[in-house]
Amino acid sequence: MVMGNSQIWAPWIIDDIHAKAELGRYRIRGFSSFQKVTHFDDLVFLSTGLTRFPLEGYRESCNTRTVIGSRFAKEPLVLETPIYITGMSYGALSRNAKVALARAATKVGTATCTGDGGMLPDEREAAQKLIYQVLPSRYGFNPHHLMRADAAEIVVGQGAKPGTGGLLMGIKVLDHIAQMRDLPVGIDQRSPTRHPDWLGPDDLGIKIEQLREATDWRVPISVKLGACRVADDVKLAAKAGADAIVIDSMLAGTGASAEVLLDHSGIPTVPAIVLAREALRELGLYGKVSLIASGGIRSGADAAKALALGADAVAIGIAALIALNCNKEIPGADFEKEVGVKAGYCHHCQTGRCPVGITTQDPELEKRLDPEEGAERVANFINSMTMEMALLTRSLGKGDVHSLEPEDLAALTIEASAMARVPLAGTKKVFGM
Amino acid sequence: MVDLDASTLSTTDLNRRIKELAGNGVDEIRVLNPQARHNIAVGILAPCKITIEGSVGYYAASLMDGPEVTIRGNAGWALGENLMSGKIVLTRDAGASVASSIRGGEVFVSGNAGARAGISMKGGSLIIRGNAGFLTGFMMQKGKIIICGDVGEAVGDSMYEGAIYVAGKIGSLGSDAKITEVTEDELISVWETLERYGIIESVRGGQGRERVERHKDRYAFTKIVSAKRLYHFDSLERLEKRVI
Amino acid sequence: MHKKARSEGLAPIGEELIKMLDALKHRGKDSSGVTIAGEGSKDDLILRLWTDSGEVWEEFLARVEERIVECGGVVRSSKPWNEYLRLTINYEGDIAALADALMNARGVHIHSIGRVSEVVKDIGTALNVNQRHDIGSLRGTHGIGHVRMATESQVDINHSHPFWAYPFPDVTVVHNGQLTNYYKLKRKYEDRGYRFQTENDSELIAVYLADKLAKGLDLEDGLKDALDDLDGTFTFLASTENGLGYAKDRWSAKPLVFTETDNVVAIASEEVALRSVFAEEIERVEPQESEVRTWLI
Repeated sequence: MVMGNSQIWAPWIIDDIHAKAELGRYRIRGFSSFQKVTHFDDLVFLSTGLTRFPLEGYRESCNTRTVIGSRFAKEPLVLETPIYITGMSYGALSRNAKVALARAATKVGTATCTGDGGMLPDEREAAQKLIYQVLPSRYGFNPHHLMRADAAEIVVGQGAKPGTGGLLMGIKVLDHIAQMRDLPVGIDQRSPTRHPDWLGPDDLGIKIEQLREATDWRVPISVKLGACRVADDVKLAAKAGADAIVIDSMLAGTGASAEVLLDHSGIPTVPAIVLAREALRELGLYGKVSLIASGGIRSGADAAKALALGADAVAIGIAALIALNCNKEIPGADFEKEVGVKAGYCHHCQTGRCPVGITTQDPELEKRLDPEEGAERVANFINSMTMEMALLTRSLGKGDVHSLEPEDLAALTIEASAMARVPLAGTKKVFGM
Repeated sequence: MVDLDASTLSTTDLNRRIKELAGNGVDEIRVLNPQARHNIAVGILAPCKITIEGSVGYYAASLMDGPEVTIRGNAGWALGENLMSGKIVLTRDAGASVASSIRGGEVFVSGNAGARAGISMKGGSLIIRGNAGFLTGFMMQKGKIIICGDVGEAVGDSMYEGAIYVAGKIGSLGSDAKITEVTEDELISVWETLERYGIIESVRGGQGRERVERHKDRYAFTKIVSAKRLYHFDSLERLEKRVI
Repeated sequence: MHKKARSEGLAPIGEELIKMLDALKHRGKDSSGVTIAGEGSKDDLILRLWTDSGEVWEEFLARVEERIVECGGVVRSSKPWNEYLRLTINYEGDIAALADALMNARGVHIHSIGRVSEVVKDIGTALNVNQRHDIGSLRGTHGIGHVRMATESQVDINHSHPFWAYPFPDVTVVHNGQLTNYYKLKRKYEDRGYRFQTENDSELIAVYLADKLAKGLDLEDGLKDALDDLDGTFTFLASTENGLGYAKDRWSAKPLVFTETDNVVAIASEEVALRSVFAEEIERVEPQESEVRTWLI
């Protein structure tokens, strides 16, 4: 006779402890946090009624063009949509995946970003706009690539594993990856947490200057932060001279991360954007330093809400991979047999056995992803997101997605009200202020 | 030969002039009065000879591919950072993170080096005539570090591959670092490098083994490499055991 | 520090510190400050105070003088400007009691109390602060200085460095880094009766050192203990009545270099700062991790 179900000793917790009793170490997985947190679903737009003039669909267009990094860069990044594709490493992803994403970005006039593995020549060729990441590991880092990039992004941390470095399990560190990263084949790569040449926010300014000197002050230099101590970190990055700041929330994805960090470190996207925006405002730099939000952006609605809260642009990761076929039972794949779960429930990127050829280095599996078809799907998806944003924006009576503001939103829960600092629907009260 | 007086130029103009001159095939560029400033000679991708008459700050001669740079003075942090190919010679002391993540080429420090010398190296060689500091060779992936003096605590911590040769005292080994045999060929190769920099007089004469026997007491080196115990997580999940 | 300044004449410490701090301005533009140790006089104390009460200076001065007299002190000279007040007083009582009396008064913040040392700090770059406070005219035997990029606490005058170590006269600290066991240690010292004027971790280092000195340790031992007891990255300089010293963090993550001649020792985060007072090339020493060193006049 079962008298009740424990909420804290839930079945998956019990299973987790059983697994650790065999494993003897922390668990590692891909995808993103399983925590239930306040997110964009708890915010709604207050579209026009009588007080404002809604815009029609076709003739009255909505501007989505977005300029990133004009603070100091001679050639800021100009995107046709405020959505770009975030850095995901060649290594975590297959070559076909990186090429598909690059082609997709070019099709829609936006940018993609390298990742913790260096710049793939095919990627540079396929992407019209490519952001080059500068990470603690510096795997494959090459000044020639830096100078061929359209922007550089110094990664201090990422939302999925703040305070630590990248992770790629040995199964995926095959010859070509190992060679690019200068690592022994098959090693379980644990990237360093810190950068080798600069160690504090006061040194960061000198590093940013170095990258500017190397690129002749042409391209935007951004700093990517995992969203933890957001206010302080954003202020320091801005003071150190960043043109743009990427704030990556706890909902951000990963190819492999220690589970304790995925679920137990970092704050959600909604408060992260608000804190970042307020930090820039305090410095008088809001609108001068571009603010980019990432982590759990799943649709045009999420992107629009992110912009309303204060972001200038958003970066997508998991969403782009899902558009590529992640978690889809495609012909030729057998999720249950290949990764032990049904399609729709897979988060096993770290195994390298991706049944749809995205997060794998196995050539047989990689064949299941056609780069051109993949590019088409991701481009379609980003277009859908952009159209969703435009539709919402016009319904608010605005002709430009960058006119979205916090006052366009209402919250559906007290937590959302407090985190987003917008009133609870039906009240005038902003909780927590 | 062209002289550039750094005291009359902004850092950006100085770097631009150097790149321009190097691109035009000037045989030697001299930078005067650097006054320990940061970011001098950054991002030079053409072969050329650059001499800097005085101490430099952080990131001197960094992000380079091809040039041969001589600096007559001290350097701050990250001298030669991410060098692709070429040579850097420093006549006095280097600060922390010298030769940080270099991929090729050679960096020579005539004086001492600070903490994290050769951190994250992915190729190339770092030679230090004096002592090197804490965490030398940290997370080194490939390449060679030769230290003629002493080395501080935690040398070779978390190394993947590559080798560190130390002539003097070792403060302590880092995690997963171990001492291993130096082969004759390796020893001769190290000596030949040091001869090139005038650190030891010629040890030529005799073949392999004989040469080593004759000089090994005077010019002995300890070799530090990865013990490779941290290469793998030593257990897999049930699922991973099945699918991998 | 000018080693022979006590015998051969005070040196232009103010001017030199400003030059050095200006050379480091890329490391912090939020605020700047210095401690200058001058001649002082045997019986008197120098007080540097600041107020955010918003009252006119005559009222502020009057309230402060009242408190000093209540404690049994005699005001020798006073110089107010804007929200600042510099006093020299004759006082032979317990410094803690004096400090408490002042800190308990509304809107009074103590920047320093010393027999020979005084702290001058304000918002802005070193050159800005020099313009407002004429630090360049101050002469002395030794001093320390700091430019701040606020990491975790606010940007305001009181959170700028140097921090004076309540209640120890002449002990001040400047710090580069971030303590990660700050709150725990702060509560421990508060429980023991120490007072903090800010939420800045650097102030804790000053109090920590003061506590060690009060227990009879010399500066060098105090600095050594700090390396064990403080968690995080921190490299700091401490200035006392008779000298100065540095403690370099155990991860060697924060930069520090110095040069020493027969007459002078100069320490800074970067060589470029030393070069602002030494035009020619210098012998530069880079301290190693967990290293502590002091110089006494």
